[in-house]
Amino acid sequence: MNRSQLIIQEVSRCPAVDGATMADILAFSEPLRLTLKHMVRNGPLPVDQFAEHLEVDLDAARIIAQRLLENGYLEKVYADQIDETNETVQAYSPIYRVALAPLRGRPIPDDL
Amino acid sequence: MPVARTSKMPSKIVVHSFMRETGKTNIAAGLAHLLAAYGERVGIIDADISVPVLHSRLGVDAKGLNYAFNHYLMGGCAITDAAVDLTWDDAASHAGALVLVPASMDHAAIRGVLHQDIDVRILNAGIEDLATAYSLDVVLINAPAGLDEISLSCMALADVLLIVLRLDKEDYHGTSVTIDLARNLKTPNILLAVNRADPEYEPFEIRRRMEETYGCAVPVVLSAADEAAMLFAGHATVQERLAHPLAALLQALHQKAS
Repeated sequence: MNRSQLIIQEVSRCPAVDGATMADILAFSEPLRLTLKHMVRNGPLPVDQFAEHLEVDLDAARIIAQRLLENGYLEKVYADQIDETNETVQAYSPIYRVALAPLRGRPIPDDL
Repeated sequence: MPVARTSKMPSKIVVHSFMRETGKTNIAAGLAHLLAAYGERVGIIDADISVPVLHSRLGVDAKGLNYAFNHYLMGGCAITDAAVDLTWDDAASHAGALVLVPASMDHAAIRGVLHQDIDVRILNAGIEDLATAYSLDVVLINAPAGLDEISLSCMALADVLLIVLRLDKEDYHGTSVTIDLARNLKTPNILLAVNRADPEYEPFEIRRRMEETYGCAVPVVLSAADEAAMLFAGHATVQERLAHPLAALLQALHQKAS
C-alpha cells in the first residue's frame, strides 16, 4: 500500500467521536498526527495545504478530510474567495479545522 | 547599568511537571521575573486551575482580582480583562514587561471550570490575544501537573516544553511518559529542570545522567535552597540577575531561540 492508501485505511478505521481530544490526535500515526497538531496550533487548512502536510495528492487529501469529517475529527469552515479583479465572491472554498471536543464538565454537588 | 535587550525568545514556553509538588509554579514565576528583568515582554498564564497559586508567587493579592483565567475559559470575559500588569520600573526601563493572567482562588470560579464544558480552542486564541494586546515576546503557560486534556493542549501549543521534576522514582517514570508524548507531538524543544535536588549530590553528575537517560538538555539543577533564593530574588538587580538560579535556563532558552 502507498502512503495515501495507508492514511485512508487509518482514518476509515478510526472510531467516530463527538469532537477530537488531544489524546485522540496522539493516537493517530504520523503524518496525520502532526498535521492535526499543526492545525490545532496554527488554525484551519484548505485542502491543498492539508494535502501538502500529509504529502499526498489532492484527491487522496479530499477523501481523508471527508472521512475525518464524517468521524467527527474535522469540521468544515468556509472562506469567501474574492476575485480581486471585480471584488465579487466567486465561490466558497472548503477549509478544514480540527473539531476539538470541549473539556467535559463534571457534575459537582452544589454544596461542595 | 542598562541591560541590552536579549535576542528573540521562543514565543510559547509551557512549564509542566508530571507530579505535583515539584516546584513547577515557583520555577515558572522565577523564570517570568528573570525574562522581564532582561528586557523581554513576558506574559504568564496560570492554566493550573485546580492549584491556583501562581499569583501569590508573583506577589499579587487574590482579593484585588475581578477576573481570572477561569472566567476567560468560561466565556465570561476577554483574556485581557483578566490580565494584571506587574511590570516594575527597572524592567520597564529595559523595555521588559510582566503581565499575569491568574487562575482564580474563588471557589465558584474553580467549580465553574470543572463543571462547565470548555472549548479548548480558546486557549490558543487567548494566548494570541494577550500577546497582541501587550506586544509580548514570550508567553509562559503554567500547565497543570500530570497528563490531562488541558496539559496536553498546552503541550501541543508549546515552542518549548520545560518539564520540572524531582529526583524521585515516580517522577522519573512520569517524566519519561511525558517526554514520549511530547516527542510524538514533535514539540520543538524539550528542556528538563531538576528541582529540590539533595545538595549532597553533584549537580553536574545529576545533569549528565538525566541528559543521558532522557536525551534532553537539563540546563538547571536546583536545590531547595536555590528555589527559595529564586523566590526571594523577585525584582533582582543586574548583579543579582547574573547569579540567579535560573540564569543557565535563560541561556538555554536563548540558544534554542537562536
